[in-house]
Amino acid sequence: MRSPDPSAGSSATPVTVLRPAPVISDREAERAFVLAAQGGDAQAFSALVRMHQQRAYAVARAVLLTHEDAEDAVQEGFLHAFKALDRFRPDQPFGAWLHRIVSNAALDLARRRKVRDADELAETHASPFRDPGEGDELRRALDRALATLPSRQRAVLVLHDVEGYKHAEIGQMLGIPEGTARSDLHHARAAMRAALAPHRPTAS
Amino acid sequence: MRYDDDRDPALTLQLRAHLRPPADPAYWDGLEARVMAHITAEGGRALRERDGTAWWEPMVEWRRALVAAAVAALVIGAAGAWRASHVEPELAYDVVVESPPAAYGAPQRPAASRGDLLGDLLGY
Repeated sequence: MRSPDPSAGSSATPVTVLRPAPVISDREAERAFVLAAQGGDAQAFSALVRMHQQRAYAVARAVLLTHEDAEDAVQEGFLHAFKALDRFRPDQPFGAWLHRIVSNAALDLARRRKVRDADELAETHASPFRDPGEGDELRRALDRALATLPSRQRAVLVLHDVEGYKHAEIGQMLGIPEGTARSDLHHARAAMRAALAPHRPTAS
Repeated sequence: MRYDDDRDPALTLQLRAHLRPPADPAYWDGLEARVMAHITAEGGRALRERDGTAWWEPMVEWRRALVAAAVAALVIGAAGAWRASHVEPELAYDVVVESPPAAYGAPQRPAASRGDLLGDLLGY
């Protein structure tokens, strides 16, 4: 948008300056979508899904062993969020609230999946989006090692090392003290190192 | 013990490669559509409840009036039953006690003279 420079004299050639268009931050846009969704606008909620689904998937994938289960947990999480939307305060970050709901949905699904055999899981394709360069043997070993971890330890490991969350954020998300998240991470790393040792190149 | 000291960059790289989320935008468009379809299917009831269009919503709004009417009907019914079992019999007794039948109150025949009475007794 162009507008005359008020500092320019009347005798001088009119000078125009470029003013930046008003920028709506993601946070403001998110708040607007939340308010509209709380008013019953389904399109606004769809926009919130678009904004947050990738992080929500990552949170669910941290807890659950398969891509399909992670997707189920994302769907359940968004459904719970939709039902509870009236209780959400728009001045709070929607993402943090949503991730707590999704992690709860994922942990709930993990409890129901506990009966599954770790070996059976290792044979499934845990992610159809894997790196083609990743060897089948290593992939199976990673699946097996992740499957042997308790779901909370696995969640802490992936949320911290893969997704980059801080211990305090992980603690809030999973409903555990920050110190517990630190200790879970330590134990998870140790278990993974031990499980993957045969597949790692030895120092010559 | 410092737990942060046991970072393992090789493990982190392996996990990141292994758990990489889908990169295809079409996948995320599809997931968004599936999420909204799930909400429409499963959350339809929640939406109706939230919008107050459930069939029982008007009844909730009239709940107080309905409860008050039910209580009033109960009180009136109870009062009627109590009256029927206690007050009305007592009134009936009062009528009986306070209003002796005509047979007891009224002389069956006019007062007789002493001579007539003696005649009755002697049989002539």
